[in-house]
Amino acid sequence: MASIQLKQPTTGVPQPVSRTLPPLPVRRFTVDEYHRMIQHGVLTEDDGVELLDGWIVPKMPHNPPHDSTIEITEDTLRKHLPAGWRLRIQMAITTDDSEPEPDVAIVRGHVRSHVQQHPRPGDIGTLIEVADSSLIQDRSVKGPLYARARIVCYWIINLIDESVEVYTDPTGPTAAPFFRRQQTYQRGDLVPLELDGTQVAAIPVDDLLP
Amino acid sequence: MLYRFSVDQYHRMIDHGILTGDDRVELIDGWIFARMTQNPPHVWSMRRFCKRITRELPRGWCIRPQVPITTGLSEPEPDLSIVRGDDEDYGTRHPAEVGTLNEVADSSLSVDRGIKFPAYARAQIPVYWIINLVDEQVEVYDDVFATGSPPSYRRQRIFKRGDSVPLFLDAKQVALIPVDDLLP
Repeated sequence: MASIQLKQPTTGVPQPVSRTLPPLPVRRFTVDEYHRMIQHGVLTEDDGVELLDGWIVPKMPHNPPHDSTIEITEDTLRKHLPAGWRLRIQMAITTDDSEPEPDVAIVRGHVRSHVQQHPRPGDIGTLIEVADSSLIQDRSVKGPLYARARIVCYWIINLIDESVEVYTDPTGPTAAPFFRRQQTYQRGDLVPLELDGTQVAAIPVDDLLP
Repeated sequence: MLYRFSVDQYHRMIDHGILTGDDRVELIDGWIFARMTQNPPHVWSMRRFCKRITRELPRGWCIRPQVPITTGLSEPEPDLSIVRGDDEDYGTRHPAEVGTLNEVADSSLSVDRGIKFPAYARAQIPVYWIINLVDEQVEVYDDVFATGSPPSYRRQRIFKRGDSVPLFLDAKQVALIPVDDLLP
């Protein structure tokens, strides 16, 4: 299996992480082809899929801790969200090569901003995934995907370790994209919420976990 | 863990031009595979097999190189298939009654054995040959067990250089092909 390096600057030790997608000569699809499949009803909402780096992948099924954490996070963030920003829950965003549906996205604009097109990376202030069984995929598949797309800030709310991992300073489209800065916050810590380069709030980790 | 497509979805992707003639693909058990480009030994072996078999094929059977075969879950494009009927019978649909299906394998060996093997068994293809250019042998799989978990061929025979491979159609031997005739 091909393996990619996800560099972790806080420890200075690179850790190899294997891709969780199969190394078969499978036909991959562009965003445009994916949109046409949806448009022509080849794929529908009932199929529950995402486009990740050309692969069409079924979304992970939901369990109660995962879905509750999304609700808890949503409630918490709403209290701190400045005007001009919205929360979108499990809705699609579009990058140059993918169309994932992150658990939470803090998006610039108003309620009718994305009627014609899903938000693009430049519209996104912070993108959040809640991870339990999906932790490896959220770090090693979605992490590089979001870094390649230059998502400015990516949080993983890690239910296994009860922490929040904050990734910033994406490399953009390089051979092995990654976030150059990573910080992990534990229960009792405060996570800075930054939008457009300004800290707008400090969120207790306990207010993001069940 | 990839999304798997039905034959119907696959056909609609072709109809809407999402998959085009430039796409060398096939649908195997729901996965859409990009077919590998073919190198000279592969092409040579296919053409040899075709010429050799055509001479000996009984009436009511035809040999079709690299055209799609439609089964319940797949639409492969095997290198060669021997199907019941005449070419005219299959003008507007893909043949579903396959006597023998043959793949020539070099770099595709792991796919031909690992992915296509259970897919062809599940589709009840009665006989599956792999003309294995890597190990210089012909592998013949029959006694199909379509409902196994996973589906499989219960009899697997290997024929090396110097051997001759029997070709069976409708449970009768119709030809005996020397392995040396099929390997470059």
